[in-house]
Amino acid sequence: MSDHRIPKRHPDTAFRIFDGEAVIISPTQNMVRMLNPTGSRIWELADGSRSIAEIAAILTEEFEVRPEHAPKSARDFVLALVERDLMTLNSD
Amino acid sequence: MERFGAFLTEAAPQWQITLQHRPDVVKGDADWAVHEETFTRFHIAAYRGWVDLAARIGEVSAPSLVRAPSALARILVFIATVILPRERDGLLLHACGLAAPQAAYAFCGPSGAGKSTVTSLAPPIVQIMSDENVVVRLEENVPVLHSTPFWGQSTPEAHIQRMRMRRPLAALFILKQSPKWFLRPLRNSEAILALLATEKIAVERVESARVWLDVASRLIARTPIYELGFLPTSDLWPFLTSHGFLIF
Repeated sequence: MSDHRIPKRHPDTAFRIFDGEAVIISPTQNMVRMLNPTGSRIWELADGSRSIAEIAAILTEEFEVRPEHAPKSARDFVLALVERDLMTLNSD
Repeated sequence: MERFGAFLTEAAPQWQITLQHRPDVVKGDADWAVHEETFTRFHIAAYRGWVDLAARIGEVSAPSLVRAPSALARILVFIATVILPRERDGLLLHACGLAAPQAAYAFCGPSGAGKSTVTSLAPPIVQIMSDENVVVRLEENVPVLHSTPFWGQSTPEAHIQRMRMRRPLAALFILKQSPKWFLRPLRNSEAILALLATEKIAVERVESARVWLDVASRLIARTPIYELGFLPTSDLWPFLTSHGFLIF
């Protein structure tokens, strides 16, 4: 079943993507993170305009991710960032 | 206060800092800083104060006259850290700076990384811009290193050179004490993380973090940045010259 929830980067974060790798700063969490290329692409796409399912579909096209694994991978990654207050998640 | 003399200019002051004598303020259990909108309060070592970024005023206390310069340095370093990225296209780096006649090199790292060691091993022909804090600014998109009056405490007072100096920045080294010598070019993301791992950065607010990332990303795009594994010996200079750096 497709996940239509819409992730969005937390407004209290700053980030830059360097050669496909995102560096994220969260002053409120006093945290700095660097994401791998797949995670960085999810972060980049999570601008509040796409659902997790739509992001998973893009990952399938751009990375060597098997279509049956992409939705779970994208969802797990988003939920991990939501848990760390780096992303928010809204229902469609 | 003579340490600041070489850096005074005729320009009108943009900030007003009040220095107070407060013998009752002692070193706390832990340093802290609280940021609320444009206001920051802090207690670092035996220095307590506040800064209003919007009104461009601040206050800092020192427990004794002897420690007044350090108190002033604390608050000025904080202001420079926040203001440079926002207004001067620059960063205050927790780094020592060494100036050759045509170019300068910055050696960056947190406390204990070896900045003072690098300066103490510098050959006589090299001028030390600071052993602890330098400013790098993008001037017409060229990184230029500037000296500061903010020196560390481990360099003997007699060796401290208070001079206003600027040189094009030729390379930035991230110091790593290591059992063997190595020089490794850093990817841009690694370079940003390495700079973030030092202490003198303005990411205390989201707005500051965004501006810092903007300036830092343009700096690393124009500056060779390496991780330098080194032993605290005078072999440092032959090692660097053998790799094409610090040739006079």
